[in-house]
Amino acid sequence: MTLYFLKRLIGIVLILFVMSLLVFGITQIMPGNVATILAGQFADASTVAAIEQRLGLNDPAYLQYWRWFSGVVVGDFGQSLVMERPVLPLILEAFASSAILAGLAFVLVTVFGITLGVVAAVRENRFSDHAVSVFSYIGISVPEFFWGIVAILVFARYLGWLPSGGAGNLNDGVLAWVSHLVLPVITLTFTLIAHVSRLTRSSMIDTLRSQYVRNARAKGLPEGHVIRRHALRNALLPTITVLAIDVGWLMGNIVVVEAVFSYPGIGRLLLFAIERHDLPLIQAGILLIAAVYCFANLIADILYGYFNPKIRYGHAAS
Amino acid sequence: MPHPDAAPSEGGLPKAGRLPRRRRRFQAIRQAPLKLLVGAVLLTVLVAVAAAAPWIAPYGFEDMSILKRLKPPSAANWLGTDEFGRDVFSRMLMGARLSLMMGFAATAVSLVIGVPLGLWAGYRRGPVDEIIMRSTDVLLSFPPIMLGLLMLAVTPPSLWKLIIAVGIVYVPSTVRLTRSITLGLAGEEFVQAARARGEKTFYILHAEILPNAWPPIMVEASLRVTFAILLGAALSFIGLGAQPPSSDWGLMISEARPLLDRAPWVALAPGLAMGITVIAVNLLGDGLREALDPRTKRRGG
Repeated sequence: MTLYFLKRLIGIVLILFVMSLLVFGITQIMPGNVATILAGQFADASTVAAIEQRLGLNDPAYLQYWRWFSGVVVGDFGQSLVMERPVLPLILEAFASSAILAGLAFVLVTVFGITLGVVAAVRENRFSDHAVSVFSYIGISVPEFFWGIVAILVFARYLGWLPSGGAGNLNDGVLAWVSHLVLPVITLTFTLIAHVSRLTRSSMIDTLRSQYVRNARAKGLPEGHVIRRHALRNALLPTITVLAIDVGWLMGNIVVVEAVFSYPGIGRLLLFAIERHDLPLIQAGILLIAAVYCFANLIADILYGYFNPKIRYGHAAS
Repeated sequence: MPHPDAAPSEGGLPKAGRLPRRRRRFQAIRQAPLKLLVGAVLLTVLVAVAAAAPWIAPYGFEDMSILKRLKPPSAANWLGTDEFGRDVFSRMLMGARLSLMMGFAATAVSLVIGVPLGLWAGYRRGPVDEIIMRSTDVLLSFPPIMLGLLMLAVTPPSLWKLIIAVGIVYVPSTVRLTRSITLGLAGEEFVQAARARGEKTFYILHAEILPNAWPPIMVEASLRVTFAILLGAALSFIGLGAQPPSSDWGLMISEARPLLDRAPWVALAPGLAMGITVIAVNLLGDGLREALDPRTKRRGG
């Protein structure tokens, strides 16, 4: 297990390294010279040249990459070009706001997705099963930004219960803070619950038909016990993998949902950076989100191994 | 077939009892074609509407009118008008064209790049396989939207770039699927026979393996069309895809966002249209999968 863990960790480091090359490489294609953007439209040639000199923009690409990368390794992502502040604290602050959104959404997705899926499977082909199926079909068929807009219309405009966007300040009281989170979290959750419950349902149905569940029932164990103690553990294995994939979705969708609700998180920061061509900010943002996703996958693999006695990582895992 | 009440012994028993199995068999026969049928009919209608959009739309999708700004739905404008007085219904119809084209074109891009790579990796194995698979590892380590974002962030956005970017996002999964199918087929006798005849690699991949690999690839691709439509809409929504005055659904919703309290219909119409489109393609894909998937077939009897 430790060996497997180490191997995966090295793999992730390698992947992150290749990613940094990719992110740096692609952002170098960005049109519009950074120096001209910084100096403003009406700057004369000598000012631009001076900025180019200062930022080392005339150096060969590998040298620029090396300078950037050696900074990244020690946590120095450079200066934001537009805001003229170091990138790291900017990104971390935004990331913390996003992490609250994503964390809450993830917990809700896990709890409700699995519960709905199990309920649907246990009551296969009865009303609650069909209800869950229809709900999830609609859920995955409409993009989350549209659900976000529907939510704003219903809960903010017509009912007036919740604010339509922005983030609350904790100084104004917990309630104000929470009220700003409700709609974005629901929006983030909706599609993914559909996704998770669909998968849990089919995996649970397969398990309930399996040999050992029949065995358990034949022993005369109560149905609730069979489902909880025997079926669930195996049925949830594929769900773990899907939950890890959903972390990726979550990290991506958060960009869209933050745009809908004007929520000041990493997604909005990234879109802002793209709009203003703020290279260091774009690079750091994308790299950070990708890194979180990588680690989510690692954790999922470890959990999978923990829950599945059939897999024992070791020689076979290489 | 052993009786369901027989002593539970290891192996040899069917997966489920007798009665539910039979019930399921009927359902498999009844359900799969129904989904397929409904999906196919819906999609045909949508494609027809999209193709005929310029002729059946009551107004031009770019016709502006200051007098008719933000009018609610009425007999003249079935779904109202937007902030420039453009007819929302006409724009929605034209949007169907863009969305469907986006979805299918992006999926085509992922197939054109992904299938040959997957065939090659699965058949040749060795270092080629290793390089291709490690590259897909890297691409799969980005959340899908992030990969699209990364590709679209650097140059001025446009529709064809969006299509290519969305296509590339789905290349890794296409490669993996094709590779795993190819791995299975490469050991088959007809492939070995072709190899023994001294056929070239290209011939074996193209004439022996590909025709047998198509069905699962196409089922997967049909489901991916909807992902492509949704991803494309999301990227257009955040301003990295289709640009104004295009009537792309994602863009329409994004433009309607500031007007929500005054004219909700501008945002609702394209959203509903997108939902219907995605449901149609999903039904078709699910139906196809249920009809073709050996797993469901076996389960069905």
